[in-house]
Amino acid sequence: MRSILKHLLVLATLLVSAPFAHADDVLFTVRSAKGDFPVTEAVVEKLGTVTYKALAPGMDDALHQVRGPLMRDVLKAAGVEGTTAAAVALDKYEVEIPMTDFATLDVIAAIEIDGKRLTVRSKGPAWIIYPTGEHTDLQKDPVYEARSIWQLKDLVVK
Amino acid sequence: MKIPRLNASGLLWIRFPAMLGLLAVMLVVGQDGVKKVADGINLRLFNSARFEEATRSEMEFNDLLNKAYRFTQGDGTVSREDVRFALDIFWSRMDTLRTASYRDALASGEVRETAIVSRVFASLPRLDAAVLALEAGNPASYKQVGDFAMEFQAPLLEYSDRSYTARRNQLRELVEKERQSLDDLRSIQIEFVGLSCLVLIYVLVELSLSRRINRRLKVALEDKRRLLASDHLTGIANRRHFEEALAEQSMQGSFAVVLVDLDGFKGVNDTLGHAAGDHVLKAVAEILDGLRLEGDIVSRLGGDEFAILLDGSRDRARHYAEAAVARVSAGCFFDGKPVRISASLGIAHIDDARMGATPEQMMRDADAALYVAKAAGRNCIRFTTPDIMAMSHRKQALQVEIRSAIETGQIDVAFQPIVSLADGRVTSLEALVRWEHPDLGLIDPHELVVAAEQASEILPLTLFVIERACNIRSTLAACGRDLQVAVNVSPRLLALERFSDAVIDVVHRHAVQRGGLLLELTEDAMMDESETVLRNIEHLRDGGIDFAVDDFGRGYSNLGRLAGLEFRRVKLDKSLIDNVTSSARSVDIVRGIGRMAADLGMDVVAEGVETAEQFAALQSLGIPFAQGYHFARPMKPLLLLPFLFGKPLPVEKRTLRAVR
Repeated sequence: MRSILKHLLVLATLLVSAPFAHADDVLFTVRSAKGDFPVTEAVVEKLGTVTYKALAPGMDDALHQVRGPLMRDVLKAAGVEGTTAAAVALDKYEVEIPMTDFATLDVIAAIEIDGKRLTVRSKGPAWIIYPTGEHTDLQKDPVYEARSIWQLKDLVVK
Repeated sequence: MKIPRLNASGLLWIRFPAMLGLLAVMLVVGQDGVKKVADGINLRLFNSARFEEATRSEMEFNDLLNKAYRFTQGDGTVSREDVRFALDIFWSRMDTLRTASYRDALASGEVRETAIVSRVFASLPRLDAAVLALEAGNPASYKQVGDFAMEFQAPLLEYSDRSYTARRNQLRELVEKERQSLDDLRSIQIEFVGLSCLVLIYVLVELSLSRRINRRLKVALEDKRRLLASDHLTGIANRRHFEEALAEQSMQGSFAVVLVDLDGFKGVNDTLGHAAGDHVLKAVAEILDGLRLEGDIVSRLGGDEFAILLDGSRDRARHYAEAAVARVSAGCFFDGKPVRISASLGIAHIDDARMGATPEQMMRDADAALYVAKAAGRNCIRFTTPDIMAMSHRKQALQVEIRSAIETGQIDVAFQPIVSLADGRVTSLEALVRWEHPDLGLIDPHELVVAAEQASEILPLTLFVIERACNIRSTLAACGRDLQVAVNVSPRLLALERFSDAVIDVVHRHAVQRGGLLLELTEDAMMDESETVLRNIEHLRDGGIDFAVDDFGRGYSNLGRLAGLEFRRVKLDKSLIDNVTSSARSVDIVRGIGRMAADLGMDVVAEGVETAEQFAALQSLGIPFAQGYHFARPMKPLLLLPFLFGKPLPVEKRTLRAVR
């Protein structure tokens, strides 16, 4: 009885959390002078994620439930330090993000919005999201909208 | 006096609120300008990013088509995954561009072809299927994708071009806006420079205003200081200023203290009125001030007394003094009428001063010299001489010592009997103050009184004499002799509010009966009949004290006053008695006064009777009472008692016999 329940739970977790994800799948890569740090599903699993309501610039003007690892945790795990990070997207969009943003704000690399895993088609697999639900003064600010880069591919820390 | 007036005092309160208000307005304007600049940049940045993404859609579509074509052509560098990835990117782009925020932004850039995005997005599942159907190295499998391209490539290109144009316009506007922002910033800068100038001007105005107020305050203070130091009537320095200057005078330099007293000024006041008196004082002040040189201080001490601190030699002092006397005696006009006036001057020059003299001592010396000038017939000047200074010194010594002299008994009282000429009986006594000075010998009573007056010791001295008079009266009364005792009183004392109370207090303490004490007032002193004087006289008279006119017949005798003040006794001056044996005129005067006094109900006492001839003459003229050496000298109580009770002492034997 007990083992059946355990199996069911494992199955449910697998189904809900990452139906197509594999532990080795690279979400994006942190690059620096020290080398590359691929942020994989396994890394995210290890770091844990946070969930909050925020705007997803490029979707609509509504708040969405976003989930992902805190960027400062990611950078800590990568063991990199610097002043700015140049973010590059799959669609070749580029933007510079001051590292202080990650230190002072709960910026995440969202991997899930409204309970759905992000794919390239839905601006995934990773999307830099600012906590605009908590910090309403950041809403509609073009600077933060520009930094909310989707389809994040590389984060080059300088 | 001019009080500093604050010009803008009415508007003062508004200055700070006005400044703050101006600042607030500037802040709002500046903030508004900055906000406009920031908003302009924000909105355009926002739109520009969206236009760029729209432009990318065509490129990404072409990338997808290109990869799909190469894949079907058997290009080994392109995998199925690459094609799918390109499709995913394009898909994501279309999904983004159809959102409301992108449509709005594009519409604002006049990109109207947004419908194409929705059409493409709706057809994406078809494209997805077409891509799935692609086969590597099979050009035919490209057909469906090619069809899709045929359908959408052209409108997507147009949409992309439109977006590109919009973006370019946006950038141009951004540049323009930036230029305008620069202008805005410049105007903000100008506004703040203007504000700074205003603040600076305000501070300067405030500064100059406070300096002006300061200056006025200084002037006002100077005015006040000058007023404090100047005589309000004549405008020259006052006593206070003179005394300060005198106290500060160093005894090294060459200078003189000059005292000026007008002769007959009281007469001018009394006959022509106070306005005339004031006019004379102003005229004299003008003369004295007109002769002044740099460094001199010309002041009015009060009344008709002036004092000058004169710089320079003894000769200069003489010239000044002579010129002053000459000009003052030239007289002046009041109301068109000439006023005769003259001045007497006493001068103490430092060259004449004794070793170790102080400015105060020089002041006293000058006063003594002035006294001599007055005595010498007035309208003249006198420098201090060793004699005068000795006199001044003696006067000063007497003034200083008078109080202790009373306390130690140096000053004592002697009593001279007044006798009835009819029967030689002693009817009353006159108390006479005596000062046996250990160094200076017996002091003249008049000198003593003057010293007491100047030392402000006249009231204690007089009360002391009255005390002794009452004392002797009580002693005699106990022995069965009821004698009236007369005491000389300076008329000045009657002007003292508390005088009558003090006298009556003594009289009560000694239980002196009514008529037991008589106060003698000197006749030649012009008595000021003020309310206080009359009240004192009335009060004393109510207390049973009689009054006598002393020294009648010397100087200006005022018969009217004799009647007016109801004196109990009139005493004929010694000068009249001296001539009563030789001058028929004196005889007539004495007889006349004697009759008149008798008619008024007054006793008549002849003073200074020294010879038997005078005694006889007065007796024949019907004068009832007399006193003098012929009868008895003033005596201390120790001698008086034996005299009165018939135990004559050898010295007094002759006169006693003569009386009896």
